[in-house]
Amino acid sequence: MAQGVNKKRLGILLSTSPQHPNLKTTIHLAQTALSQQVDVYLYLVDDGVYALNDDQLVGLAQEGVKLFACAYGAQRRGIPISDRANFCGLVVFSDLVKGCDRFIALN
Amino acid sequence: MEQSVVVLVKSDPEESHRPVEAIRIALGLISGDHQVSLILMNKAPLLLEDEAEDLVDGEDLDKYLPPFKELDQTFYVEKEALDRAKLTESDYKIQPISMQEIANLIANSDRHLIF
Repeated sequence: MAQGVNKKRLGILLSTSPQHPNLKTTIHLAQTALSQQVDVYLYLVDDGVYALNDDQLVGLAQEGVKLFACAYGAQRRGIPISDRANFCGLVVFSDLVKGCDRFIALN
Repeated sequence: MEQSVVVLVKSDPEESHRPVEAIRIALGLISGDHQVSLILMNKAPLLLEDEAEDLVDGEDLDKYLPPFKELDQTFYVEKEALDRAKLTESDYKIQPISMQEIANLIANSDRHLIF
């Protein structure tokens, strides 16, 4: 997992739909972490993949967040593979759980 | 470095797809060499019953559950939930667990996921 020298890594799992307050929590948490020079890895799974339709969340990638989405969850929900995120499987999720200094699951 | 991960399933698999998704994610973590403690609460032990195909996304359990058996993975089932469930002759490795023990497992884990 690429990272800046001595930078802390925060992993976030978002599994709820965009209607849930977890979406705003995720966005604010990620922005705050970035402002503190923390590397942020965000993994969307389950209904969390619907957040790919949220421009503010997807825009986090432009700010530096490494954005991943569960390809299986997206496929089941009819969300097309696109460049809005890195579509991947649970191997990547497992690596994030392994490699981040802190990991928060917003379920 | 592998992590100790608690996956706690408390949603109702008769009403929600989330318990089956939790099982899928737990399997992914186990495959990644994490030490996973899988805890079933409330109605989640229904996942291990024979009529699981009646659950939301229950047909997917045929793909996800067999590896747990092959790996001899323990399912920790909260004691009151276990009393309500029909798991006396289950093929899975089931261990009753109290709420205090669940709290201890979470407190001593590196990560925890709650579905």
